Amino acid sequence: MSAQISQAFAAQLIAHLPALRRYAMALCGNSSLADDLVQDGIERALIRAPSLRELDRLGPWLRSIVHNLFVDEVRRQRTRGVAVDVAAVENDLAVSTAPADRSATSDVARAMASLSIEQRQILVLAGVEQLSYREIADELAIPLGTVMSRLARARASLRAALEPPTRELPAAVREQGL
Amino acid sequence: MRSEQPVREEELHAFIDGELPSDRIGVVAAALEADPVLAARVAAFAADKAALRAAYRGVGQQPLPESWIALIHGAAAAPPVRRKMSPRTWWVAGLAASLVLAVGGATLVYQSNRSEGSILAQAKAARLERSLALSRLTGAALADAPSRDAFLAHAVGLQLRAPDLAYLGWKLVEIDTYSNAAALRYHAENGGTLTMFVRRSTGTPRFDLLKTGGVRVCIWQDEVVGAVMMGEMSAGQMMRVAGAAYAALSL
Repeated sequence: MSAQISQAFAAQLIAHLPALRRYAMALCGNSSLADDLVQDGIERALIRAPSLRELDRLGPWLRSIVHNLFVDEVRRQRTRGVAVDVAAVENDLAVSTAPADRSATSDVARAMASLSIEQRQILVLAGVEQLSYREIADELAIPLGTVMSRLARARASLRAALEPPTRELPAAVREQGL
Repeated sequence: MRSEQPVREEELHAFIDGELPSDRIGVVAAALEADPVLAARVAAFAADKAALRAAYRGVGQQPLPESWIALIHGAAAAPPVRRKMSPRTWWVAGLAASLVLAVGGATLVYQSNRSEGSILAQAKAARLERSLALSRLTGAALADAPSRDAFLAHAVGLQLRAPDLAYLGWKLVEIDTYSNAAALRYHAENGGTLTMFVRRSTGTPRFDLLKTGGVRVCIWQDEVVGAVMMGEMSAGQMMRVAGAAYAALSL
């Protein structure tokens, strides 16, 4: 049962939903699961609304709710894993992407699906939501240095996933330009 | 002689993200200048960041399920408030008369017990027919927030403030007033126009997101105030700007 919430809270909550949905999608890599997470996140936010002291913190607060819901979901499905239908994700993302960018979008979706939750989270916060390092540190309750090292590792993993290492050509071939 | 510290991997990313301390920017830039392989790596990381943002940007612009909005409004809905309102001819009488004269039709008079859709008609008229305004606040007069808020509050008859949407790229350029209503006009750098029509609520909470003639419309009303935001933008953009505007409207 949800608490009575203020109109200001309702307005801000609705305004945050598009970004929250984007965050959930990038985090879990599954559009139907992302919508389930947001739906559950809304319900949980409505119940816990009285505990949020500053409306300015609504964005991080909502993301933490969705993140925790996702982690819970992963734990529940540990034995079989959370299904990531990469083709479906590519399709969902492609719908809202310009045709010229669809190949890159598919590559990104595949690469993100190969990363850990922790890596996806920090990549999304820095790269999609464009939070500052300080904001990320506050949101994840980790030191600034940890944000930087975690982000560097995540970006290296993403880079590796986007561009598998090419096989080294024999020296003789390289020299002949073949 | 002071030797420079070598560039750390984390600093390359801080450079990309604009988070590098000023005393290290020159060091990293020099390292990139001197090492094409390093420069190529940084360029690839920057491109990945851009690709990531582009890939998920569209998700935030998709229409939201109505069930989510209904769930939130259901939690926000207060018990119905019955307000005893005296019959009153609205400012739209004059507005509508002017419009009707323009098309050679009959005179329309809006009463306080008008249909639910009339706030949209008023908002459309205010957006299209700027000459119908009773008064206008514009230019330097808008700079003083307390003054413009008082102007708005006096026009509508409610304690309101003019939402500052500059952080979303929308600059307030004028406030038009009508009888018990006002229209705020915002401009974007790309030439787009967002209008926000505000008046007292009819008492029935509602939220509608629609599109009419290429213009996205968000009607948002609680028990006290009704607002209609209109602009040529995506549903996602409208949700963002309307949410911010509505939340900032009430004191």
